[in-house]
Amino acid sequence: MFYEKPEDVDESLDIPPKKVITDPSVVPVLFHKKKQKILNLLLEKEFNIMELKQETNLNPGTIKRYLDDLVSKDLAFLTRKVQNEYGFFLKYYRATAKSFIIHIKWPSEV
Amino acid sequence: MIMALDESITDLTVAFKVYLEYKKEYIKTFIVFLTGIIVLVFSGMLILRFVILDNYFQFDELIRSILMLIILLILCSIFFLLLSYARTTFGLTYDIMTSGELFTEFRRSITYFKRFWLYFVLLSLPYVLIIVLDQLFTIFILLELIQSTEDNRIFLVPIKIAVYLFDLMLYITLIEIFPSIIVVKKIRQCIIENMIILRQSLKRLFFSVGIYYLVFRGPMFIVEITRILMVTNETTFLFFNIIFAIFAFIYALIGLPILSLISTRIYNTTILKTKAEESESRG
Repeated sequence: MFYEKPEDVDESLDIPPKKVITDPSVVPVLFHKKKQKILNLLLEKEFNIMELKQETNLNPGTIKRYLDDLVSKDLAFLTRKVQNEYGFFLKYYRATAKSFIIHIKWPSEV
Repeated sequence: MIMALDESITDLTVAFKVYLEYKKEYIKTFIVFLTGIIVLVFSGMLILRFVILDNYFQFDELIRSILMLIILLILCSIFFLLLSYARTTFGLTYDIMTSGELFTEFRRSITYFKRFWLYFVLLSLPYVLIIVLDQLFTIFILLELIQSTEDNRIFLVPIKIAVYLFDLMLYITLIEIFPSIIVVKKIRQCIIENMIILRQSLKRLFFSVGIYYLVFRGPMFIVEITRILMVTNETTFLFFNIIFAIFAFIYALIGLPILSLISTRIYNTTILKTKAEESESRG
Protein backbone atom coordinates (compact mmCIF):
# COMPACT_ATOMS: atom_id res chain seq x y z
CA MET A 1 0.00 0.00 0.00
CA PHE A 2 2.63 2.55 1.06
CA TYR A 3 4.91 1.74 -1.83
CA GLU A 4 2.29 2.14 -4.52
CA LYS A 5 3.52 3.93 -7.61
CA PRO A 6 2.27 7.49 -8.12
CA GLU A 7 -0.25 7.49 -10.97
CA ASP A 8 1.83 9.70 -13.25
CA VAL A 9 4.90 7.41 -13.33
CA ASP A 10 5.81 6.46 -16.88
CA GLU A 11 6.99 2.86 -16.90
CA SER A 12 7.90 2.72 -20.59
CA LEU A 13 11.50 3.74 -19.99
CA ASP A 14 13.59 2.71 -22.97
CA ILE A 15 16.93 0.96 -22.44
CA PRO A 16 19.51 -0.20 -25.02
CA PRO A 17 18.89 -3.71 -26.48
CA LYS A 18 22.35 -4.94 -25.49
CA LYS A 19 25.46 -4.06 -23.60
CA VAL A 20 28.91 -5.54 -24.00
CA ILE A 21 30.77 -6.35 -20.80
CA THR A 22 34.54 -6.15 -20.96
CA ASP A 23 35.33 -5.74 -17.28
CA PRO A 24 36.12 -9.16 -15.68
CA SER A 25 35.01 -7.97 -12.21
CA VAL A 26 31.42 -7.68 -13.51
CA VAL A 27 31.20 -11.39 -14.40
CA PRO A 28 30.79 -12.80 -10.84
CA VAL A 29 28.06 -10.23 -10.16
CA LEU A 30 26.25 -11.12 -13.36
CA PHE A 31 26.39 -14.85 -12.63
CA HIS A 32 25.36 -14.59 -9.00
CA LYS A 33 22.04 -16.52 -8.87
CA LYS A 34 20.08 -14.09 -6.69
CA LYS A 35 21.47 -10.98 -8.35
CA GLN A 36 20.49 -12.53 -11.66
CA LYS A 37 16.98 -13.02 -10.33
CA ILE A 38 16.77 -9.31 -9.53
CA LEU A 39 18.38 -8.26 -12.80
CA ASN A 40 15.97 -10.47 -14.72
CA LEU A 41 13.06 -8.50 -13.30
CA LEU A 42 14.78 -5.18 -13.99
CA LEU A 43 15.17 -6.14 -17.66
CA GLU A 44 11.38 -5.98 -18.02
CA LYS A 45 10.48 -2.81 -16.13
CA GLU A 46 11.51 -0.62 -13.22
CA PHE A 47 10.99 -1.78 -9.65
CA ASN A 48 11.41 -0.39 -6.17
CA ILE A 49 12.90 -2.46 -3.34
CA MET A 50 9.55 -3.49 -1.80
CA GLU A 51 8.19 -4.60 -5.18
CA LEU A 52 11.38 -6.64 -5.68
CA LYS A 53 10.84 -8.13 -2.23
CA GLN A 54 7.36 -9.27 -3.23
CA GLU A 55 8.67 -10.81 -6.46
CA THR A 56 11.77 -12.51 -5.05
CA ASN A 57 10.93 -13.17 -1.37
CA LEU A 58 14.39 -11.88 -0.48
CA ASN A 59 15.05 -9.67 2.54
CA PRO A 60 14.91 -5.94 1.62
CA GLY A 61 18.36 -5.40 3.17
CA THR A 62 19.79 -8.13 0.95
CA ILE A 63 18.03 -6.69 -2.10
CA LYS A 64 19.49 -3.26 -1.31
CA ARG A 65 23.02 -4.69 -1.10
CA TYR A 66 22.55 -6.64 -4.34
CA LEU A 67 21.16 -3.55 -6.06
CA ASP A 68 24.14 -1.51 -4.86
CA ASP A 69 26.41 -4.16 -6.43
CA LEU A 70 24.45 -4.14 -9.68
CA VAL A 71 24.52 -0.34 -9.81
CA SER A 72 28.25 -0.14 -8.99
CA LYS A 73 28.99 -2.58 -11.83
CA ASP A 74 26.76 -0.57 -14.17
CA LEU A 75 24.32 -3.43 -14.69
CA ALA A 76 21.42 -1.45 -13.20
CA PHE A 77 20.71 2.19 -12.51
CA LEU A 78 18.45 4.42 -10.45
CA THR A 79 15.77 5.64 -12.83
CA ARG A 80 13.86 8.04 -10.58
CA LYS A 81 12.93 9.03 -7.06
CA VAL A 82 9.26 9.97 -6.82
CA GLN A 83 6.82 10.78 -4.05
CA ASN A 84 3.48 8.95 -3.78
CA GLU A 85 0.19 10.08 -2.27
CA TYR A 86 1.14 8.74 1.19
CA GLY A 87 4.15 11.06 1.32
CA PHE A 88 6.66 8.24 0.77
CA PHE A 89 9.61 8.68 -1.53
CA LEU A 90 10.26 5.69 -3.79
CA LYS A 91 13.46 4.88 -5.66
CA TYR A 92 13.06 2.91 -8.88
CA TYR A 93 15.74 0.77 -10.50
CA ARG A 94 16.09 -0.64 -14.01
CA ALA A 95 18.67 -2.74 -15.86
CA THR A 96 21.11 -0.76 -18.04
CA ALA A 97 20.31 -2.96 -21.07
CA LYS A 98 17.87 -5.64 -22.20
CA SER A 99 20.69 -8.19 -22.58
CA PHE A 100 24.36 -8.45 -21.66
CA ILE A 101 27.12 -9.89 -23.80
CA ILE A 102 30.37 -10.87 -22.17
CA HIS A 103 33.43 -10.11 -24.25
CA ILE A 104 36.57 -10.79 -22.32
CA LYS A 105 39.99 -11.74 -23.62
CA TRP A 106 42.51 -13.31 -21.28
CA PRO A 107 45.27 -12.44 -20.81
CA SER A 108 44.05 -9.01 -21.89
CA GLU A 109 47.42 -7.66 -23.10
CA VAL A 110 48.08 -10.49 -25.63
CA MET B 1 -10.14 23.57 8.62
CA ILE B 2 -11.85 20.39 7.32
CA MET B 3 -9.00 19.80 4.87
CA ALA B 4 -6.41 20.10 7.67
CA LEU B 5 -8.40 17.66 9.78
CA ASP B 6 -8.64 15.19 6.88
CA GLU B 7 -4.87 15.45 6.34
CA SER B 8 -4.31 14.89 10.06
CA ILE B 9 -6.47 11.77 10.06
CA THR B 10 -4.42 10.47 7.10
CA ASP B 11 -1.19 11.36 8.97
CA LEU B 12 -2.30 9.33 11.98
CA THR B 13 -3.69 6.39 9.97
CA VAL B 14 -0.56 6.09 7.83
CA ALA B 15 1.65 6.39 10.93
CA PHE B 16 -0.16 3.56 12.74
CA LYS B 17 -0.14 1.28 9.68
CA VAL B 18 3.53 1.89 8.93
CA TYR B 19 4.39 1.31 12.59
CA LEU B 20 2.64 -2.06 12.48
CA GLU B 21 4.47 -3.02 9.28
CA TYR B 22 7.93 -2.07 10.59
CA LYS B 23 7.34 -2.65 14.32
CA LYS B 24 10.20 -5.15 14.69
CA GLU B 25 12.89 -2.56 14.00
CA TYR B 26 11.27 0.01 16.32
CA ILE B 27 10.82 -2.59 19.09
CA LYS B 28 14.48 -3.63 18.87
CA THR B 29 15.49 0.03 19.21
CA PHE B 30 13.17 0.35 22.22
CA ILE B 31 14.69 -2.77 23.85
CA VAL B 32 18.17 -1.22 23.61
CA PHE B 33 16.79 2.01 25.12
CA LEU B 34 14.96 0.15 27.91
CA THR B 35 18.01 -1.98 28.72
CA GLY B 36 20.10 1.19 28.92
CA ILE B 37 17.62 2.85 31.29
CA ILE B 38 17.40 -0.25 33.55
CA VAL B 39 21.20 -0.62 33.67
CA LEU B 40 21.55 3.11 34.36
CA VAL B 41 19.01 3.11 37.20
CA PHE B 42 20.41 0.01 38.92
CA SER B 43 24.06 0.91 38.47
CA GLY B 44 23.29 4.45 39.65
CA MET B 45 21.56 3.15 42.75
CA LEU B 46 24.38 0.72 43.49
CA ILE B 47 27.11 3.30 43.04
CA LEU B 48 25.31 5.87 45.19
CA ARG B 49 24.51 3.26 47.82
CA PHE B 50 27.94 1.68 48.18
CA VAL B 51 30.38 4.43 47.27
CA ILE B 52 28.71 7.57 48.52
CA LEU B 53 26.04 6.91 51.11
CA ASP B 54 27.58 3.88 52.81
CA ASN B 55 30.25 4.32 55.44
CA TYR B 56 32.28 1.50 53.92
CA PHE B 57 34.54 4.04 52.21
CA GLN B 58 35.83 6.58 54.69
CA PHE B 59 35.67 9.89 52.80
CA ASP B 60 35.55 13.27 54.43
CA GLU B 61 32.42 15.30 53.67
CA LEU B 62 33.92 17.52 50.96
CA ILE B 63 35.27 14.59 48.93
CA ARG B 64 32.00 12.76 49.43
CA SER B 65 30.05 15.77 48.02
CA ILE B 66 32.41 16.18 45.05
CA LEU B 67 32.19 12.47 44.27
CA MET B 68 28.41 12.61 44.52
CA LEU B 69 28.33 15.55 42.09
CA ILE B 70 30.65 13.82 39.60
CA ILE B 71 28.63 10.60 39.71
CA LEU B 72 25.35 12.47 39.28
CA LEU B 73 26.80 14.39 36.31
CA ILE B 74 27.96 11.15 34.68
CA LEU B 75 24.57 9.50 35.28
CA CYS B 76 22.74 12.56 33.87
CA SER B 77 24.97 12.58 30.76
CA ILE B 78 24.26 8.89 30.15
CA PHE B 79 20.55 9.57 30.68
CA PHE B 80 20.65 12.36 28.07
CA LEU B 81 22.52 10.08 25.67
CA LEU B 82 19.88 7.37 26.13
CA LEU B 83 17.10 9.86 25.42
CA SER B 84 19.07 10.96 22.39
CA TYR B 85 19.27 7.30 21.29
CA ALA B 86 15.45 7.11 21.54
CA ARG B 87 15.31 9.87 18.91
CA THR B 88 17.04 7.59 16.38
CA THR B 89 13.50 6.41 15.55
CA PHE B 90 13.43 9.56 13.39
CA GLY B 91 16.39 8.09 11.47
CA LEU B 92 14.64 4.76 10.99
CA THR B 93 11.55 6.62 9.79
CA TYR B 94 13.73 8.62 7.39
CA ASP B 95 14.94 5.32 5.89
CA ILE B 96 11.38 4.12 5.41
CA MET B 97 9.65 7.28 4.22
CA THR B 98 12.25 9.66 2.81
CA SER B 99 15.32 7.78 1.58
CA GLY B 100 13.37 6.06 -1.19
CA GLU B 101 14.50 2.59 -0.08
CA LEU B 102 11.24 1.91 1.85
CA PHE B 103 12.83 -0.20 4.55
CA THR B 104 15.09 0.02 7.55
CA GLU B 105 17.12 -2.24 9.80
CA PHE B 106 17.65 -2.04 13.55
CA ARG B 107 21.42 -1.55 13.21
CA ARG B 108 20.72 1.71 11.35
CA SER B 109 19.69 3.18 14.72
CA ILE B 110 23.33 2.79 15.85
CA THR B 111 24.49 4.52 12.66
CA TYR B 112 22.07 7.41 13.26
CA PHE B 113 23.12 7.62 16.90
CA LYS B 114 26.81 7.88 15.93
CA ARG B 115 25.99 10.53 13.33
CA PHE B 116 23.40 12.65 15.13
CA TRP B 117 23.77 12.11 18.91
CA LEU B 118 24.84 15.67 19.61
CA TYR B 119 22.07 17.16 17.47
CA PHE B 120 19.51 14.93 19.21
CA VAL B 121 20.80 15.91 22.65
CA LEU B 122 20.67 19.64 21.83
CA LEU B 123 17.31 19.57 20.07
CA SER B 124 15.69 17.37 22.74
CA LEU B 125 16.77 19.71 25.54
CA PRO B 126 13.50 21.72 25.76
CA TYR B 127 11.42 18.50 25.94
CA VAL B 128 13.72 16.70 28.33
CA LEU B 129 14.22 19.63 30.68
CA ILE B 130 10.51 20.30 31.09
CA ILE B 131 9.81 16.61 31.85
CA VAL B 132 12.79 16.12 34.19
CA LEU B 133 12.23 19.37 36.12
CA ASP B 134 8.48 18.74 36.34
CA GLN B 135 8.99 15.17 37.61
CA LEU B 136 11.66 16.16 40.14
CA PHE B 137 9.41 18.99 41.40
CA THR B 138 6.34 16.71 41.67
CA ILE B 139 8.22 13.90 43.41
CA PHE B 140 9.84 16.35 45.83
CA ILE B 141 6.49 17.98 46.71
CA LEU B 142 4.73 14.61 47.07
CA LEU B 143 7.44 13.27 49.38
CA GLU B 144 7.13 16.45 51.45
CA LEU B 145 3.36 16.05 51.58
CA ILE B 146 3.61 12.43 52.76
CA GLN B 147 5.71 13.55 55.70
CA SER B 148 3.82 16.73 56.60
CA THR B 149 0.54 17.02 58.48
CA GLU B 150 -0.80 19.81 56.26
CA ASP B 151 -2.35 18.78 52.95
CA ASN B 152 -2.57 21.55 50.36
CA ARG B 153 -1.66 19.48 47.30
CA ILE B 154 -4.46 20.87 45.14
CA PHE B 155 -2.16 23.75 44.07
CA LEU B 156 -0.17 21.17 42.08
CA VAL B 157 -3.08 20.48 39.68
CA PRO B 158 -3.07 23.85 37.83
CA ILE B 159 0.76 23.67 37.70
CA LYS B 160 0.49 20.22 36.10
CA ILE B 161 -2.09 21.45 33.58
CA ALA B 162 0.16 24.40 32.68
CA VAL B 163 3.18 22.11 32.26
CA TYR B 164 1.28 19.76 29.95
CA LEU B 165 -0.11 22.66 27.89
CA PHE B 166 3.40 24.10 27.54
CA ASP B 167 4.70 20.65 26.58
CA LEU B 168 1.95 20.32 23.94
CA MET B 169 2.88 23.74 22.57
CA LEU B 170 6.52 22.60 22.32
CA TYR B 171 5.41 19.50 20.45
CA ILE B 172 3.36 21.48 17.94
CA THR B 173 5.88 24.26 17.37
CA LEU B 174 9.18 22.35 17.38
CA ILE B 175 8.59 18.75 16.36
CA GLU B 176 9.53 19.27 12.69
CA ILE B 177 13.15 19.99 13.63
CA PHE B 178 13.75 16.24 14.01
CA PRO B 179 12.86 14.99 10.50
CA SER B 180 14.53 18.13 9.16
CA ILE B 181 17.88 17.69 10.96
CA ILE B 182 18.34 14.26 9.38
CA VAL B 183 17.96 15.75 5.92
CA VAL B 184 19.73 19.12 6.29
CA LYS B 185 22.26 18.23 9.06
CA LYS B 186 22.44 21.87 10.26
CA ILE B 187 20.67 23.17 13.35
CA ARG B 188 20.04 26.67 11.95
CA GLN B 189 18.62 25.29 8.71
CA CYS B 190 16.36 22.80 10.49
CA ILE B 191 14.93 25.57 12.70
CA ILE B 192 14.21 27.64 9.57
CA GLU B 193 12.47 24.67 7.92
CA ASN B 194 10.50 24.05 11.12
CA MET B 195 9.28 27.66 11.02
CA ILE B 196 8.32 27.36 7.34
CA ILE B 197 6.21 24.26 8.09
CA LEU B 198 4.69 25.97 11.10
CA ARG B 199 3.62 28.90 8.90
CA GLN B 200 2.36 26.70 6.06
CA SER B 201 0.64 23.91 7.98
CA LEU B 202 -0.16 25.17 11.46
CA LYS B 203 -3.71 23.72 11.46
CA ARG B 204 -2.50 20.33 10.26
CA LEU B 205 0.26 20.29 12.87
CA PHE B 206 -2.22 21.34 15.53
CA PHE B 207 -4.65 18.52 14.72
CA SER B 208 -2.09 15.77 13.99
CA VAL B 209 0.16 16.44 16.96
CA GLY B 210 -2.80 17.42 19.18
CA ILE B 211 -4.65 14.12 18.59
CA TYR B 212 -1.38 12.24 18.97
CA TYR B 213 -0.73 14.04 22.25
CA LEU B 214 -4.22 13.23 23.55
CA VAL B 215 -3.76 9.53 22.75
CA PHE B 216 -0.23 9.06 24.09
CA ARG B 217 0.35 11.78 26.66
CA GLY B 218 -3.29 12.00 27.83
CA PRO B 219 -3.13 8.78 29.89
CA MET B 220 0.14 9.98 31.46
CA PHE B 221 -1.56 13.25 32.39
CA ILE B 222 -4.47 11.36 34.03
CA VAL B 223 -2.03 9.19 36.00
CA GLU B 224 -0.15 12.32 37.07
CA ILE B 225 -3.29 14.06 38.35
CA THR B 226 -4.42 10.86 40.11
CA ARG B 227 -0.97 10.53 41.63
CA ILE B 228 -1.11 14.08 42.95
CA LEU B 229 -4.58 13.59 44.47
CA MET B 230 -4.25 10.03 45.77
CA VAL B 231 -0.72 9.69 47.15
CA THR B 232 -1.01 9.48 50.89
CA ASN B 233 1.84 7.23 51.93
CA GLU B 234 5.00 5.64 50.59
CA THR B 235 3.16 2.58 49.23
CA THR B 236 0.73 4.61 47.10
CA PHE B 237 3.65 6.84 46.06
CA LEU B 238 5.55 3.79 44.80
CA PHE B 239 2.43 2.31 43.16
CA PHE B 240 1.62 5.47 41.17
CA ASN B 241 5.25 5.92 40.16
CA ILE B 242 5.31 2.39 38.77
CA ILE B 243 2.05 3.03 36.85
CA PHE B 244 3.53 6.28 35.51
CA ALA B 245 6.73 4.48 34.47
CA ILE B 246 4.68 1.85 32.60
CA PHE B 247 2.86 4.57 30.63
CA ALA B 248 6.17 6.32 29.97
CA PHE B 249 7.60 3.11 28.51
CA ILE B 250 4.49 2.56 26.37
CA TYR B 251 5.03 6.09 25.13
CA ALA B 252 8.66 5.27 24.24
CA LEU B 253 7.70 1.96 22.62
CA ILE B 254 4.79 3.10 20.44
CA GLY B 255 4.42 6.85 20.91
CA LEU B 256 7.87 7.97 19.77
CA PRO B 257 7.91 5.93 16.54
CA ILE B 258 4.37 7.12 15.74
CA LEU B 259 5.44 10.72 16.39
CA SER B 260 8.43 10.29 14.08
CA LEU B 261 6.14 8.87 11.37
CA ILE B 262 3.59 11.69 11.70
CA SER B 263 6.19 14.46 11.67
CA THR B 264 8.20 12.89 8.83
CA ARG B 265 5.05 12.59 6.71
CA ILE B 266 4.25 16.25 7.33
CA TYR B 267 7.88 17.17 6.50
CA ASN B 268 7.84 15.08 3.31
CA THR B 269 4.56 16.50 2.05
CA THR B 270 5.48 20.12 2.72
CA ILE B 271 9.21 20.94 2.57
CA LEU B 272 10.47 18.00 0.50
CA LYS B 273 7.50 18.10 -1.88
CA THR B 274 8.18 21.78 -2.55
CA LYS B 275 11.90 21.07 -3.04
CA ALA B 276 11.12 18.21 -5.45
CA GLU B 277 8.69 20.39 -7.44
CA GLU B 278 11.23 23.21 -7.61
CA SER B 279 14.00 20.93 -8.87
CA GLU B 280 11.57 19.39 -11.41
CA SER B 281 10.55 22.81 -12.72
CA ARG B 282 14.25 23.71 -13.09
CA GLY B 283 14.59 20.55 -15.19
